[in-house]
Amino acid sequence: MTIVSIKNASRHYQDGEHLVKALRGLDLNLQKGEFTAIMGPSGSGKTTLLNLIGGLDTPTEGSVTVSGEEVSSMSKAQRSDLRRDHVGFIFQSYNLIPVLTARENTEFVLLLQGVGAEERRARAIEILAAVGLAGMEDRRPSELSGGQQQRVAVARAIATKPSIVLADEPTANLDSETKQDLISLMRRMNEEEGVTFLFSTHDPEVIKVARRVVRMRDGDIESDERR
Amino acid sequence: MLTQIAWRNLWRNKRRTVLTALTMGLGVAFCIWMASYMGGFMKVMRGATADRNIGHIQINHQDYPETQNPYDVVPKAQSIIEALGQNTQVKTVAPRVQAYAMFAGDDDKAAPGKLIGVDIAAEAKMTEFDQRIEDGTWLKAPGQAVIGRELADKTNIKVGGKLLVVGSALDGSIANQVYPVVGIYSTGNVAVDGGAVLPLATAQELLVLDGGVHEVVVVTQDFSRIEKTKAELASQWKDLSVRSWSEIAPDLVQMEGMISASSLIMIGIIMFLTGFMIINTLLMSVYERTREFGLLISLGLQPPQIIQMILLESGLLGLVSCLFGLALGWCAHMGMVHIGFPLEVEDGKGFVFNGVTLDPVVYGSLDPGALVLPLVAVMITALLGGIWPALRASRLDPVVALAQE
Amino acid sequence: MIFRLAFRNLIRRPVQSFLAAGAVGGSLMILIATTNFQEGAWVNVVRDTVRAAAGHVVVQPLGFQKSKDPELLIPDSAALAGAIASANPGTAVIRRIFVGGMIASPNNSVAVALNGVEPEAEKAVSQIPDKLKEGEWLKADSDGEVIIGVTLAKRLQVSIGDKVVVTSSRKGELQGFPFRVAGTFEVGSAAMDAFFVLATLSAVQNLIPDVTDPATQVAVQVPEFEAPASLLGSVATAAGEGFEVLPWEEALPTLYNTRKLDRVSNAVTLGFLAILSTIGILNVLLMSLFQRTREMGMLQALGMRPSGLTKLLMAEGLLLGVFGAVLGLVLGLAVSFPLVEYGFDYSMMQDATPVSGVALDTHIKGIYSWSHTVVWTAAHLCFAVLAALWPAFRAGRLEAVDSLRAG
Repeated sequence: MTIVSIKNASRHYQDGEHLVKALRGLDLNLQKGEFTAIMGPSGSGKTTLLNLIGGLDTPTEGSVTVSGEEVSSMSKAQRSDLRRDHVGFIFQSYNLIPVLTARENTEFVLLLQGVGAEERRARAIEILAAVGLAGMEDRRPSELSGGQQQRVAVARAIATKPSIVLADEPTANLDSETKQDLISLMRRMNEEEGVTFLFSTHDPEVIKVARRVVRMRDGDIESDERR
Repeated sequence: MLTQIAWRNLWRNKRRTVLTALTMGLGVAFCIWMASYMGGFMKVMRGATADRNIGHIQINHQDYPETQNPYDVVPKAQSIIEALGQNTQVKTVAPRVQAYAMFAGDDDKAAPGKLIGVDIAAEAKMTEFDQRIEDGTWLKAPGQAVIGRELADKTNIKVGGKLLVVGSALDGSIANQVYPVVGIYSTGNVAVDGGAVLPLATAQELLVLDGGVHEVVVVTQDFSRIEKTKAELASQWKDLSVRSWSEIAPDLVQMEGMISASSLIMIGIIMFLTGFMIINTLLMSVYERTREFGLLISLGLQPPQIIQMILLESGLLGLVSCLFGLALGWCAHMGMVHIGFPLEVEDGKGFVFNGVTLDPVVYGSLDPGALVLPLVAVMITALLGGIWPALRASRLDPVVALAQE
Repeated sequence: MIFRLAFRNLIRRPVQSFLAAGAVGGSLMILIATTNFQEGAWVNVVRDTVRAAAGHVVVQPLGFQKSKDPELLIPDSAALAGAIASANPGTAVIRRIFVGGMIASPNNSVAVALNGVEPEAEKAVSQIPDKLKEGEWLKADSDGEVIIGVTLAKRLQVSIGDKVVVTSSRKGELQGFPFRVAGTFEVGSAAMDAFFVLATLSAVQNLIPDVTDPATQVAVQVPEFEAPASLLGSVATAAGEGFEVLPWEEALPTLYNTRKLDRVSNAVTLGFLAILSTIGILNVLLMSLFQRTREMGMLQALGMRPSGLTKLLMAEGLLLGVFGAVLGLVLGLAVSFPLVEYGFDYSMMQDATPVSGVALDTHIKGIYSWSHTVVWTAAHLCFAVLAALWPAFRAGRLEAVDSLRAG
């Protein structure tokens, strides 16, 4: 089942006097349950691609369909709802709302969805336990280590059972041991819960575990291999 | 160099700097508006009492101020007037006669009021009384009368009509005379506007004063030297009462005191409130630049220099606020000068305050000296507001500060 | 949740939030204390002046209010007063007569306002009996006596027991009547101490032989501060045709308008302070918005709608307003307390200024003016929300991609 379908998508920015072509007519399909890594040098268009799929941005040309819905024709509020209901995000850093505890961060999107308080709470505690943070539910981000913060981010991203989780260099700020833990956590969630992951990375360690690797260069796909 | 850094830092966050300076400036502008308003108010008050009635200095028989006894005439008034005419500090001098009388016209309507006898030419020169005539003309010859607007309303006397004056003469007889009314005046002074003015000789004759006058009024060349001139005159005529306008109308002086006190309180309150804001702005900018301060400290900038830099920033912010305030305040003052502020309390009449009828609209008048206080207050507030943020920044540990995002 | 988030965002920057809320609180405190004091002063002024210079409702000859013509008189005033009193039980009905004239001693003569009053009734409402310097207040049978101000006594060079002559005109005829000075008063107002003369109603009536039992004013007063709205109509009915029946607001227009003007200028000044302090809130919210741009981007990435961000910022503004309002309310009432309980004496600074012919008490006690307190507090809350509008609007327009890229 195709979750994301990108056809001939391009994205151009005006940077001062220069027209930056971040994506140049790219095609990509993602299937349910895939664990895909996008790699490529800086400026190759990885982040732009993730932003388009997440509905944070819209293509200059071409179409982006997520869960059967065309993103480029949506209003800002509709795209917010798309993200809320179908997309999970994990960023490189600053992932969490600093004033909320781990549990509240995990609950946050459920709250936006209008899930009742008790169910929200139960789900957050369950998922935090699944990512190995049992007993740390009431800590604030500042009281957690970098790896733990990223685990909370994973927990939050999958709490709503989204169609796809987008992760933009999720391991970039972590040491190698923590990095391994996070990758295997994501892999485990992919296998056990069937969560679809798409993440950008430079990291060969991460690419090793990926089952599909998309290489990008200059705003287009250079190679696409499945393992 | 530090000033330059401070100035540029200030404009790194334009919106915040402008917003803060605008708020402080608004405070200054409000103070200026108030000064303009109060200045206009006091100008009317002083005009109606000091300039148009009391004059700067009055010389009386030593008992007269207390008793207003009509028998207490100024001894040797003529020689005093001549001596004052020689005095270089004296601009104009005029004698007056004062009494109370009943006034009536043809209409059977009578009203009591103040009767003033004046030297026609000298009075016009001194208090510009001739400018206060609303209908008809100023006195031209002995035997004529001009009356105040209120008396005219009460007695239905018109220009060209007759004024009957009944009072007590000094010889114990009833003074009783009729004069043609040549003009109606309005000075704003309730007591004067409820009475009538006669030529000096005519009044003296009516009251059988035998050439005596009750007061010799002096307007000096230099308003700010009044008290000194008064002291000189007092030592010249030790057996007479010599008073300056501030002694004659202490309530006016008191009122000026009240007004400056309330302006001071207002400035204090505004500065107290805007002080919160300036501290906030500077604190925020210090927080934001924690890392930068770490860098500056590790480059070898000493804490006193950091303090100096932030105080410079707050001082410059204060200066910008002053500029905003002056610009906004000038606009407010222009509004007061051209549009004015309505003070109507009875149909077509303004306040009656301490015996002065104000116009229904008060127009602004600004003494440049009134600008000093709010501007100085802004600078002080800005510098005081900078102290805490400056101390915070100077106490940063460079290692911790550099680790900040 | 929005409020929890907003609240935590505020306490994350305790100093900034406190300073912004403090400015609001400070301004509200000043507003409440000033208004309570001012309103207290006006209650005193209005109560004293309405009693001493008029009544809650006055009945006067037609046209008197405009012309102030002393020749206009109410004949058979006792009968009218009696009719009004019996129609309005519980009210005090007093009669006064106002005449202009000259008062003369062998030494001087001065133009004065001569008021004829009913000694017993007037004693209850006038300030002068309490401010006698020498001598005694008028009695019912003291028709040959006057009470004069101390300044006037000095000018006439008379003391208690001395004779003075009051000259007044009636229909163009001047008449002089001898009186004996029974007392001198000092109310602290130069105008009143020099030009105000009191005699009994019947004595002044003697100066007007052509009218039976004349009076210039029949004043109706109630014990309360404010008369019921029905009083005006019921007095008018009892008085019948041929008179002007006015509430105190019209009988004492200067007092009424001065109060109005004072209230307006206070509202302008104090409203300005309120606005000044709300700009502080605007500043804090704008800054916190810029500092948290990335966080805003993240919230959007998580699926929060633009309107959600707007709501968050509005909630922060509202909370700051609430903090400030509570702070201001507590401080304002705390400052009001001594003003209400003990009052404040400003006689050091100013003379007793007369308004509508009544010298004001210089010792003023505040009152708790709850209606103003509520209005000012609500105004601060509204201003805080208004101040949040702009930052909130900007937050709603943030582009998620740009915000995420921000530092």
